[in-house]
Parts: sequence; C-alpha cells; structure tokens
Amino acid sequence: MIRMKHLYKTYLKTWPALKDVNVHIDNGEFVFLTGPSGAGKTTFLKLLYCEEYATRGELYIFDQKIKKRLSHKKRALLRQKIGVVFQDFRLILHKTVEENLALAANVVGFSPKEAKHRILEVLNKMKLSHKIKTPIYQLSGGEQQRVAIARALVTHPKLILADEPTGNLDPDISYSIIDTLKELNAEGTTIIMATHDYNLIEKYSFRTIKIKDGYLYE
Amino acid sequence: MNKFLFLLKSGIKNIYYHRKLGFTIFVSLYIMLLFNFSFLIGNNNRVLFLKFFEKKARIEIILKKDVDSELVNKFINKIKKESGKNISTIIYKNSMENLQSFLKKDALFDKLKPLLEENPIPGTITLKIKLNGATAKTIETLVAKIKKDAIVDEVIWPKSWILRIYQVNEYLKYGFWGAIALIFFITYILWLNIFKVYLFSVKTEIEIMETVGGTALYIRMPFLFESLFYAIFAYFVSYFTVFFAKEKFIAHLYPISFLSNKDILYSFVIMILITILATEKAISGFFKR
Repeated sequence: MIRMKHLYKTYLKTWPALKDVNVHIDNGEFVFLTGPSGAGKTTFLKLLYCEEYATRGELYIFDQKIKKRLSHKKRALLRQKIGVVFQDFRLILHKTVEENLALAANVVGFSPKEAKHRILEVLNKMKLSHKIKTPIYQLSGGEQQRVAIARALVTHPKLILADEPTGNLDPDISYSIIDTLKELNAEGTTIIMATHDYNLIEKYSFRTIKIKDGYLYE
Repeated sequence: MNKFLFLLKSGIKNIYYHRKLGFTIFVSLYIMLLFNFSFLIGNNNRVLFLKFFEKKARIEIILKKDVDSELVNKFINKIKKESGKNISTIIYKNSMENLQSFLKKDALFDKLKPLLEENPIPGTITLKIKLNGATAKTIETLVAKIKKDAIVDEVIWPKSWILRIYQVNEYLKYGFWGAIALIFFITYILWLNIFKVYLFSVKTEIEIMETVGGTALYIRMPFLFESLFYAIFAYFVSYFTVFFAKEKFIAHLYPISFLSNKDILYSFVIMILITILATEKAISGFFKR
C-alpha cells in the first residue's frame, strides 16, 4: 500500500526532516509512528496525504507513484481515499456534527440520502448519533476527536492517518479512541498513527516505527 | 447535481454563519454601487445641462432686401430639410414686421417714419437650435450652407459660445464614464481585498475542505455562491435606494431621467463579472501549493 525508497524531505533546502527513509506498509496494518517532538512524524504523515512532497526519493501510495508535485485535482482524488485525523481535530466549530461530516461525504459524491445514511452509520459506530445536530463547539474534547475520526471514516477510506489523535485527551478517552481505531483496522482499514505516548504503544502490540532525527528505525 | 445542490446549500448556510463579515462586504459594495448609479444618472441627465442653455442658442439670418416671399418659403423648406432634428423652431419676420417692431421701441422712431423714403430694415429668420439633438459640427455645416444661399445677407450666431457648451458637454460625458469605470475598478480592488481578508478568516475551513479531498471547484463554489448573494443583494438594495431617492425627493424638485434598462442590465452584468473575478482571484491565492 505504501512504499518509500531512499526518501528525503528537506525544509528550506537546508533543514532535513526525513533522511533516507525506506519503509513498506501493507494493506490492513496498524502502525504506530513514534518519536520525540520534532522528529519528523508529522512530516511523514504530511507526505502521505500530499500536504508536503518529498525532496528526493520515491514514494508510492496505493501503488501510485507520487511525483514531485500533484495537480490539485489529482491530490484531491488521492485524499478522498485517505481519512486524516488531527490532534487539533480541525473541525468547523460553528457547524453541526452532521454538517462537518456531510462536507466529506459530499466530496466523494454521495447523494443526500446516501450521505445521511453513512453519517448516521459512522456516528453510531462512534456512539455519537445523539449529537448529530449539535454544533462542534458544544462538544467535549473527546467527542470532538470522535467526530474527527467519524469524518475520516465517512468516505470509506482505505487508509487512516492519525496525527497524535490522543495528544490532548485523558488516558481513558485515549484508550477508547485507540479501541475504535483497532475495530476499524479489524475491518481492513490500514491505520498509521503518530504518537509519542509510550504507554499506548506498550499497551497495544502493533508494529511500531520510530523516527529520530529524521531517520526511521523499526 | 447532488454535489451542486449541496454546495448551493452550503453557500446559503455560509451567509448566515459569516453574516458579520458578509455585512461589511455588502455595505462596501452598496456604497460603490450607489456612486455608480449616481454617475449613470448624472450622465443620463447631461441633456438638462444642454437644455439650460438652449434659450440662448439661436441662429439669426438677415435676408437681403426686397426678397420675394416665395423665395423665402423655399429657403425655409430647404433649412427644414437640411437641419433635420437640429432646429426646434423657425421664426420668419418680413421687413414690414421688423420695421413695426423697431418703431414700437421708441416714440421718437415713430415720428421719424414719414421721413423714410423706403423701409431700410430687411426680413429676418430666427432658428432655435436643439442643443441636445445637434452637434457642433452639424450646426457649423448648416450655418455654412445658409451663408451660401443667394437670399441671405448675413448670419449671426454665437459660434464660440455654442462650441464651448458642446466642449463642456463632452468633458462631462467623459468625466461620467471615467468615474463609472473608476468606481467599477475600485469596486474590483476593494471586493478582492475584502474577500481576501474574509477568506483568511475562513482559512481553516478551506484547509479542512482540502484535507477531506475537496477539489478546487468544490471548495470555491460555496464561497462563490455566497459572494454572488452579497453582490446581488447589494445591487438591488442600492438600486431601490436610488429609485426611492429619485421618486420621493429629486423628482419633486426637478424632472430627471432615471437609469435606462440598458444601464440596469449592463451594470448588473459588470457587477456579477467583477464579483466572480474578484472572488476567484481572492480564493485562488489559497491554492498556490
């Protein structure tokens, strides 16, 4: 599913974020991406959803070679197959849960009926169906993160990228979010989750990739 | 179609969500359109400026003495043909009428009448010029033709004065159109910058739409619908403000021409184009990468 060969990412031509990265992630894997702050975890994820492009080396996502720069349309089409969950949730605060999810559902061309059905389905999975008409700013941190995961799920993505999704949450809520991701993984979705919470990594025995000073270790 | 309806719905909802910023956009466009409508009305009423001077705009033709009235009639018909709509009235006074009115001016003149062997005053024709219909060139050509006629002795007309009026009228015309174009240009710049600021406040929203895989068109559409709504709303409100002001206040003081259907249509189309171009330019700044 994802392959990186001798991949480098350098910011401002002199600041290397990732160095000689070689990695292969298969379909249906659950991968923890760990390392200290500033190690390059977010850059790694950004390369996968084409927010950033590699300076050197090869990158394949869904067996599609990612060139230096994709057109806006190609990038959008690629992103429609990927669900992204951020530490800061990145939800539209003044809009309701349903509206936030509809944004993603409509991108992939669901009809209003299909969209509504799918939104209810994922909200049920996230145990949030009762909050469907609630504006985001009225939800707690844990609920907002679950809405962010629901939004990532709504398009039936093959790959979910989670950038420290439990970073701002209580341990109990963090575990429940990982359990949700684990369930999704069991259904066949590939999950790559960046975290520097070693308690979580120890508790779950998933493949762990460590990043330190831009280098990858397994 | 589903996507289109969803985007339209999102645009309509955005109007409510972004109402505070939307109000600023609306007010700026409203003021600009008020200026533009005022200039358009001003341009349409240049005729009032010309009408104001029309009373003094006349050509006096002094005929040769003892001209046959049949010849004068022929000459008048010729003037009518050649002047077209440039002349509003033609007044002919024969030599006797002119003498009578001259003698009436003073009792002394009347006493001198028996001393005259013959009537020394010739017949005259007065042409009242329609400044609005004519141009400086058509009047000059007409005067030149009149001068060539055998029965005409002299033509008296305020050439430099009329030419100056036409010159001022031309300046007014270019001034109004220049001001209208300038206002539209300022509207474009203003709209572009306000929308840039406005979009900056919804930058996160755009980023989120990009993250979930929204294409450039998908992201643009709700904002475009939203800006079109502000533009159309501002257009109609400013139109009715001007219409109301004309009907309730100005029309009572002085009858003026309002906006023509052409003005309304063209200004509407230009404003829609400006809105689309400025919104597109403002929003494309967010898709540079």
